[in-house]
Amino acid sequence: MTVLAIARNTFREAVRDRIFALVAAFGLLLLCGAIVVSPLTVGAQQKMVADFGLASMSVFAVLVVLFVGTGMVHKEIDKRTIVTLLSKPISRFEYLLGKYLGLMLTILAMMALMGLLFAVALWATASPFKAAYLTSIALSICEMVVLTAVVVFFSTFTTPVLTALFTLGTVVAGRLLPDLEAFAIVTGSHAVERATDILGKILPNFDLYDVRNAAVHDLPIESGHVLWAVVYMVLYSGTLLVFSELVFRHREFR
Amino acid sequence: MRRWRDLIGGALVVALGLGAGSAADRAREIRSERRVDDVLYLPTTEALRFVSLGYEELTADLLWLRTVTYYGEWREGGHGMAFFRELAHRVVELDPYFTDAYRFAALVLADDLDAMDEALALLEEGMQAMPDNWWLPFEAGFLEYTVRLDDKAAYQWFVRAAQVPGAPDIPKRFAAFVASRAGDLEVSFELWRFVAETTQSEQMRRKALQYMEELKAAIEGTGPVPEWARRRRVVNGRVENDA
Repeated sequence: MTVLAIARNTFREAVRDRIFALVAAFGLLLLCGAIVVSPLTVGAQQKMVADFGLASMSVFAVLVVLFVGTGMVHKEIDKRTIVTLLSKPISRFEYLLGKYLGLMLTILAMMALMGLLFAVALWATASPFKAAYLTSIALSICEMVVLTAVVVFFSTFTTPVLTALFTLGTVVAGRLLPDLEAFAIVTGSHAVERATDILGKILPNFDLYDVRNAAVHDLPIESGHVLWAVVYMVLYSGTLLVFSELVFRHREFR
Repeated sequence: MRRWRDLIGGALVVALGLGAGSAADRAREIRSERRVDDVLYLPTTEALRFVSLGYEELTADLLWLRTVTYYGEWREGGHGMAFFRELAHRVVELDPYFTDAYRFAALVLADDLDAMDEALALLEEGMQAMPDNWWLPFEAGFLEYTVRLDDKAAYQWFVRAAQVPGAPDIPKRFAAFVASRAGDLEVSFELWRFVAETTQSEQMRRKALQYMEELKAAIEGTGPVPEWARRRRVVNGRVENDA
């Protein structure tokens, strides 16, 4: 119950951050963009609307995690409300879990709204709606589940600016893992290969959640891949949340 | 008093905004470097993939828009076509399933840049990525017939397109057409008509309609065989009056 109350509060706070204005801007941009560029696309209008829609949803979700998530815990420390909160019978894990779920709820609401706008954009440009788009959006949400755990982890021990920097760095590295691995092979150095291998185990593999191109081009998206990506999401974010609690437990608030 | 201040403030915002807009226009007019400079140092595909942070398809789309505008600028005499190949290759390397990019780039390479072999190589790259896509071998057949006037090669490509599982009757129909009426300008006319009817691109449709008009006049005897068709006939050794 306490966890849900914290989650609800976090969600309300995020909404008050005028986050939904960002989403409205997204929808407007998407619709206008699709209409403006359509004469230039040389027959690829439907592909572009789908590409722009799916990619924008992912980009905006990352931005929300960064802007809302980074200050989430720090704001409470700054205002000293955390002291009042933790003096109540609430464990630190419950507090973090509540914050995490609240941010996830915000992202889910935003993705749902963006999904709706995406559907409008598809309809406005007479593009077909494919079931694979739903898979792609669902995997984008999974990616955000992991990313939210990352931002919660960093926010437990550092400042908002550093949290934003570390999270952004994690996004970049996590997205580029396959390229980093390919780069390591090209160098021919065993040490670099080993280092990349270790890095690949530690960093979240965000590349698993990118099936946008497959969805747009009607390429197969294997159910096994989706299943294991979901399992990875549960285990990775679970690990990070537990680790966050370990770090957060040793923090002192005066 | 407050209302006056708001009004003056508003007027100042409009005046300054308009001034800034016209200053930007003036600066753009005076600027000596050309718009094409942005493609002079096009990063490699690997670099583009790296900086796209996993949004390769979006990067491909944006680059494709630049490719199309680059082509448009060339049509209007703005600059040469030196970077078209690079741009088109980057696009399909970033998104190997971008069928429209393969088709349009191949048409431009073959028809505008006289680089038929490059056009076919590009299409073949696409066929490797998408072996079950009938559009690409069909496009190769179309280019062989209408641009290089190689009926035999065109026939083979149309047959290959027809053999792709799930392909419609169109390639089969054109294979039969080409086999029975090789060199016929009417087949060219039909092929261009097919392009005009099926393309979603206004640029391609305009091009197809213009070629259809010229071919129609030649077929009906009210006009000469189009210069572009005649030139290619000489190159490929097909007789002048075989239409």
